[in-house]
Amino acid sequence: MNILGISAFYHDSAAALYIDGKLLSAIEEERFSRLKHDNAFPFQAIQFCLNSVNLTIDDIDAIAYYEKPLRKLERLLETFVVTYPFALRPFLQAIPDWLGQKISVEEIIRKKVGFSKKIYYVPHHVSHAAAAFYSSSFNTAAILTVDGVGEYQTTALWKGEKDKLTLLKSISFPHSIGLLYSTFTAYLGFKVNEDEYKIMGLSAYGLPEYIQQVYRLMDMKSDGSFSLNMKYFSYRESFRMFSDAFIALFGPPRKPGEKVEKRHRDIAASIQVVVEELLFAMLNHLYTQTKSRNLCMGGGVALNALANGKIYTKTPFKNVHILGAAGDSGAAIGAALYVQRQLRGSSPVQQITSLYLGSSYSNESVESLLSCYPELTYKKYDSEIDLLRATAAKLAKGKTVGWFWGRTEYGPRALGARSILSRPSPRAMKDTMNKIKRREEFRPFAGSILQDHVHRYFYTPENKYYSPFMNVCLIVRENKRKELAAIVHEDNTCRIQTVNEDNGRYYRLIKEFYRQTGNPCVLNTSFNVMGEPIVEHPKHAIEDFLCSKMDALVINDVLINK
Amino acid sequence: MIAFFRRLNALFISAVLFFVYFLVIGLARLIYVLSERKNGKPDSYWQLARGKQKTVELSTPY
Repeated sequence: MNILGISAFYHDSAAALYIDGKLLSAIEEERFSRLKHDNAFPFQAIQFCLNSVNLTIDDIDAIAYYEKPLRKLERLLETFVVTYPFALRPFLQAIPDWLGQKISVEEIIRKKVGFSKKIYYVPHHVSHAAAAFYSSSFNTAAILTVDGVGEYQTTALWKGEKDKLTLLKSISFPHSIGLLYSTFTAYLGFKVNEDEYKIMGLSAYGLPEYIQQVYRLMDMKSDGSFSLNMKYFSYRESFRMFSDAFIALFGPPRKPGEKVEKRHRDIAASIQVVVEELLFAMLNHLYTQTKSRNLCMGGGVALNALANGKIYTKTPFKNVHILGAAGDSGAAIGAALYVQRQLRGSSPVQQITSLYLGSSYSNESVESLLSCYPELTYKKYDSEIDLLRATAAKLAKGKTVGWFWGRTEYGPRALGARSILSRPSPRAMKDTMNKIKRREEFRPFAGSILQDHVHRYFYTPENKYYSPFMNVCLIVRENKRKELAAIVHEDNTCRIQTVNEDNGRYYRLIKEFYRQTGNPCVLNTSFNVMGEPIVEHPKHAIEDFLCSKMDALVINDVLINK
Repeated sequence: MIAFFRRLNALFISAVLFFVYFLVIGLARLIYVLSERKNGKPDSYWQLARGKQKTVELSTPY
């Protein structure tokens, strides 16, 4: 059975294709449209998924859409009733938008995609829960889904047993951890639904001196449930996330581009601490409900790597699975997985261990492209080991290398297919990389480390700890902080990706780097410059290479120098 | 000319929505206020999953 999962119209539109129970292709629309977090209907992503397996839309048996659009419209209308008469402007903008496109998902799929078979609408948090649980190796697990908002739900507790997902409890809009975090993102002068991770990075530089003020925004219970005091928020009735009462509590908001001051850092630290406390209270309550030591998390809030790293010490959970694409793009996978379980009945565990599911380009196309850039010199390697030796040698000498290899990653993290790499020390490597990426100084870099060595460098819950999707921050061991100086953040944590044979050539590169330097870790950041999606075509990679201070670029078997 | 008619169309839609907002949403608001129950602070904000929530109907967008 062939099932196409789709997410669209909120952010990170994407398509994912399952053929006979195997996830063969998945990609976000932004990679093609070059609009970061593109929310347009993913026509190009769908076409890519079909082309990648030489199928047409007629070969697809079912389409799984990641939410119920009419339920979402109902919630929107209810919100307008509750906020009447203060939401006229959002009403005038939102309703034509909804009536124009968002409500007519079926029409788009029928007429523009040309699909005539069955369409299934999977509730938003069911999609998240399915993506989280069915992609894990667990037969039973507790599941937490947390995001901004789906149809109504913003937070849900689930129990997963074999093929069955059971909803236990939920919290509905407007009470939302995702929207709470986004409110602070907007207040601190960053972009909502895009820059939340900047708050996470900034929080390490501050002290949580505003905790009491943050707690005034909500009533929180010991079981982790909460209710936001909507007096402080205006995301229901205006285009601004926070209200005047919020400003009275925290002071004037930071404008985009303004200097980041101590107060901003302290506020970021405070919201991070409170969100962590909320999450851990929820997780402890979830454990009492399920008694399972296995935890799966989904939804955008599950991308909070700093909180994720503390789950092992703050809750009873021993095994944690968070899909790399935990946000809305991953919901396309979840919707498809859920529909597959409903239609086929019992399915074997389909653990996702690799997210290299996107596009790839041949060496021939790269060489042909390079003929248009006479200013570049390059060498195509016939032997992989020679290429890896040359690349690792550059990294060992402190050079920065663009690394474009094989199929692109699904989800927001570069996992070694479209990455910019460097050695993880000295500290100055961070400044060099920040210049290449043109991004804020306070933002940390992540590391990719050989799985066999992770426990020697980080305080891990177990030896050879497995975290392949870069969604956990761990504390770096004191004696290794100098060795990883460029990726150790202000709070001595580092977001890590453990790398093993599943990572193919990327694994072999780090192994070679380890052989040459004795260091099993590299600095890994996404191959893009600020404000742009991760590179899709080799041409994007070459252009970024040319306009930045990157030292070398590897595309498949070709090593390019300036 | 096309731009003019587009703007006229947008203006017309806005005018219709303006009336819909103040009349229909306003009436719904009135009913909402009249039927609203004042509850004290609960012990928990978790909403328990009811039978209806536990089964998922997939074939409809609602």
